[in-house]
Amino acid sequence: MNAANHQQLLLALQQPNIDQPVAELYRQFHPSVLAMVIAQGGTEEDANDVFQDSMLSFVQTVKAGKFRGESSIKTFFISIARHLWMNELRSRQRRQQRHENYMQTNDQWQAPPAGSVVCQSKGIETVFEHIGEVCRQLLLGFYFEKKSMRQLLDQFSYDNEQVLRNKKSKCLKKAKELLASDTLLTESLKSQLYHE
Amino acid sequence: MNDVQIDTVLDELAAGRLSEQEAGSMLTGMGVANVTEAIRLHQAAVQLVEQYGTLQSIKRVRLQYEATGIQTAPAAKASTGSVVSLLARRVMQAAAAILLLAGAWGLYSVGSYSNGQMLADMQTAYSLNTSRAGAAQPEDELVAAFRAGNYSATVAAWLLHPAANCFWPAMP
Repeated sequence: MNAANHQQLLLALQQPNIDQPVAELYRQFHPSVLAMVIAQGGTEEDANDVFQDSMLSFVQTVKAGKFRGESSIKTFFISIARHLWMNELRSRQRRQQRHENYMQTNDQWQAPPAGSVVCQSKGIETVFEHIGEVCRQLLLGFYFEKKSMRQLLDQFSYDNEQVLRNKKSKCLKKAKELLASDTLLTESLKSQLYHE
Repeated sequence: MNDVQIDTVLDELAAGRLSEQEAGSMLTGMGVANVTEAIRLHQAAVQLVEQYGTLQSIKRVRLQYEATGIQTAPAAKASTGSVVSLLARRVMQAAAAILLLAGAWGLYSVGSYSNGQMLADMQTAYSLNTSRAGAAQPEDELVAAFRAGNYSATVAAWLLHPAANCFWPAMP
């Protein structure tokens, strides 16, 4: 990837519709991440999950203007994936250790199914599974697609902007309550906001 | 406490249209008890929505990408197979590197001949091969050249004429 393409990709990632640059990143880096995860004892599914979370982390870093370009996109991206996979491996080792410790004292214990990558994306999706379709669309429209209240009023059948604002506020309150109940996710999001 | 008004202030802060200090004063005036925590939780919630939107884009692309099967390259299919395949590739790469080094050394050796030596060697090799049919013992000439240290002539002869392979068993 040359410098011009590099810049173009970073700019494209800052737009609301990121499908095209995400597809380009998939095409360029997925094979490397797949090979890395498999060479270090993971499965193809693990690699796909790690890649998805690496992509999420990378896009958020770029959107927040925190990617300074001191290394190439590839180096940066692969290092995120390696970091996530190492964390996952450590987490699995700890689970395995707990399992072994428990087995020494309780023969009836049944092993859990093989764990998949514990990732932030699962926590995020869980919150949105509980807030309902209208709230999902409304919050995405306002905060992700950066639509104005006027544009959203055209999209949703509410009487006026004030009613829409009330609805958005209720939806956000619900999202905050769900978020507050997931301490790990909340801390992870806060740390992304307040740490470089 | 009006949630809509509080959200509006927090949205303005998140969009950078209000400073944290300005937003803080307004929120305090609206009766928000823990302003810092309210700001952080709001920003985390906005971040959550942004990440969810990003995640939906990624998942759309992931589905398309996985449906095409592009990522299932043979080298990365099964873990045991892939390790063996990876090792085989590394061995091949190492062998290729050794061959390249040997080739480079060979070229360096050829390049270190004195002026015209290579041409002379080739001519000698050619004459040895062409005279082979008529000569009583062409192998002797080649062996003699070899013993005289004219290695390039013997090697070139062998290369120029596959039949010259038969000379090698006679080499000392």
